[in-house]
Amino acid sequence: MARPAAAAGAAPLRSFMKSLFNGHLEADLVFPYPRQDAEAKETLGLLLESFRGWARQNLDGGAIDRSGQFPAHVVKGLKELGMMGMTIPEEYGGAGLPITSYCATATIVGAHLGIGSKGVVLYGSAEQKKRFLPAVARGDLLAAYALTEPTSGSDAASLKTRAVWDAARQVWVMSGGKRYITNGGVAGLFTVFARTEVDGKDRISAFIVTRDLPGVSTGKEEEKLGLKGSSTTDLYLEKVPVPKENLLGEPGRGFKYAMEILNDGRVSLAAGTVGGAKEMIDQAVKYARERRQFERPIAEFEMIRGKIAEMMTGTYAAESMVYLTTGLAERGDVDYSIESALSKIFSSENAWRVINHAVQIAGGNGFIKEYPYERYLRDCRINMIFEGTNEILRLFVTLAGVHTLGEELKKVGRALKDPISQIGVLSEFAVKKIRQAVSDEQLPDIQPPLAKTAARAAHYAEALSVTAEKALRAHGKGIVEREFVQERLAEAAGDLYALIACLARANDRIRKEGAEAARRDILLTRTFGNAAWRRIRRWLYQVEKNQDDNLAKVSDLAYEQGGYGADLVP
Amino acid sequence: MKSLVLVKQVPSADSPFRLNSSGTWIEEGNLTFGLNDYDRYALEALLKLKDAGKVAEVVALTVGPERAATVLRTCLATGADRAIHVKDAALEGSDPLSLAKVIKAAIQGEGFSLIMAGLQADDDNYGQIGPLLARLLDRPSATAAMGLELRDGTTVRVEREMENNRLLVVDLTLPAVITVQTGINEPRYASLKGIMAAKKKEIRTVALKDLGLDAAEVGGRAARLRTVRLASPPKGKGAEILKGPADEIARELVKRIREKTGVI
Repeated sequence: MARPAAAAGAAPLRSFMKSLFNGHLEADLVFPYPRQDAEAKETLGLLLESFRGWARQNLDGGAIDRSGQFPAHVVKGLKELGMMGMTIPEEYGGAGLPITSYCATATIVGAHLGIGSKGVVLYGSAEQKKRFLPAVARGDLLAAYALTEPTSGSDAASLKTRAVWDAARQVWVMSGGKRYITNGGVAGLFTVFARTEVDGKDRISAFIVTRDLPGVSTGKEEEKLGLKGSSTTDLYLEKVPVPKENLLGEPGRGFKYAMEILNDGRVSLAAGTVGGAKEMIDQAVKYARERRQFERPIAEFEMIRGKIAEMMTGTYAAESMVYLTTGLAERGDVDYSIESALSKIFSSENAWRVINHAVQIAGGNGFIKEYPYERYLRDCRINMIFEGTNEILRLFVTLAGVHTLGEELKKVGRALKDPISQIGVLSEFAVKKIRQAVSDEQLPDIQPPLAKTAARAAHYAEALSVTAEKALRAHGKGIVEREFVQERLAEAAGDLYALIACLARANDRIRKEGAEAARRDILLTRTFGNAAWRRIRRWLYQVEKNQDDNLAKVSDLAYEQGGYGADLVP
Repeated sequence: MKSLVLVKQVPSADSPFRLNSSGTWIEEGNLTFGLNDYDRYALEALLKLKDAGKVAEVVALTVGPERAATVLRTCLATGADRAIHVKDAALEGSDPLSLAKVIKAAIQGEGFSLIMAGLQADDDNYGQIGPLLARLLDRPSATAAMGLELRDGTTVRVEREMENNRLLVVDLTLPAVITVQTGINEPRYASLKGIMAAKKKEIRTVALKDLGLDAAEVGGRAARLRTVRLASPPKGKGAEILKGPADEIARELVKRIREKTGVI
């Protein structure tokens, strides 16, 4: 994906979701729905056709799961097909494809390209790219991303691994340990984040650490709930002399790089979960049509229909978000960090629901290892945890969203020579201003079949910014501690982005191919929209009217008792 | 030695199949398309000969609409050197003999010594193009090849699949047309490198007028073979469902199979 050159001091990049929090519907960023570059689409299509044919013969997900091993012939096959170089730029022997997707069957490729080698692609010098990327693209050098440590997970900035500059030897001496490193056991290249001293300040920097350096070792393979074929280990760094030419990008910018790499990684991950969800829908539909009870296929029963419908609409929405977000990413001139986080949250949770439904539809078979359902269930669980837990991402979404809103309010405050603490006085003015701004902005060129759904979306876009602004006034900086509030705003933002993505996609098809050709898109968008705006309404309502006090008290009760509590047993 | 592989784009087997409104073919709207499975084996057979240095050039040819170009790109990505796409709206619905005439015209002057194709197409199962083309070229042909060996520059030995697990070994004087059975080899998959390289390879597109052919003779409207109806076969009557405890059913089943087939 193209990377915006975010020079220091330059005007901030446009962001669709930040603007939305701010009360502005910047529809030109999402309308028309992005279309894939035709040539890239064909290349990807040919590669996938080849990959699927190969996978049918060579890739047995069940066998990998049972053995916990990723067979050598599979790695060899992936290499020969060129899957390892999909997103590496062409001049370094890859395909330079703009989207990394469909890596669901092979986390090894996801971790290798999605985040493991991404740092070199994005921030590497010409010399570093020449040195590492050809081998990465061939798959001879597998890559891993090493940020997490035993004591720093979601709080990534608190990492302890340190690299100290040794002027005499002209190397960075790195010591520390990383945890849960995907591809840890097989990677030859690690993108490692470590504390460094930069101009007398303690800052995080990024390094390329190769396995051949003295002091680099990895721990035992972790036994996991799912994704058993992928390697997950600790990474130990004991006084590793990292050559100075292995410093990635500028010193001190490591944390920014770490987050930006994950921005990209999250969209790929989301794409992978969409792939998994689609496959489960196919399985569930097949099963529901074949399985007969009461002398009818169970597909005809309404409780099965309801599940199938939810699986379809959720996955359509997740897919719409993913491709809208990759479209934003490929523009190169917008900040898509919130959209990327929302795509990851939404599609990982959608996949979980879809697979849960598929298990239920399969009945007893869903629980039996002979069928693929339970493996999918286990494999997809991690998506809600890694590359940023969905909780930390929700905080990020809301805080990044209201941050610009806060800036906006400050401006109003400054205009009236009044500090932010007095913003309550200005509330009427500010709310009115924001309402005006939004009410003028509708989704453009909406086709008649989608008019009602689009009006709902525009209405709740306004409601989101008004509610966020109220919350900000109510809590000020203290909103950072109000996670209940942040969660609800993030939920509303997620459903809203999903709905706008569906609308953009369906609208685009109607415009280009007519309402008849777009009838499936229209049906799915309307159905999703009907459920989504009601959820958004509820989330926003609960920002003010809720029983958060009780929730806090009940959790306190559990903490005090050290659990459920013996006296509660009747 | 120059070689040609005839390929066809067919609906993928996992597509949702529905009858079209006239009941003569399947609805194309929801289909995904891919390279005819039999043709993969034909292509692989030629690529193997090329790897062994016995064939200098492998050319892929298809007759079909715009979308069919994708299978030519698949062939090029897999290792074919160049491709010919015969594309003409008038060919929609043409019968196999007409298509063989079109192919003959499209390869005139190329001097292919070895022409291969899949035994049949996954969609219509005619299996006629290969033998018809051989007839039009006045060259020998062999169908259902299970093995293939270039003896020298003039002869190809073909093992043909017969009933009852027998092989018929025949020698054909080149140039010759051979259609292959699946399983003759293990078709390779296009690699990313191959896909990237294929972008620089030539696909020559030709229409009927370029070939000096008249739609009134070879076009769909002139077809002397027309599809009347596509339908599921009527349900058979002979089926019998055995009932009772599993061990009894098993005993009965063994008895019947033994009586009817003598296999057990």
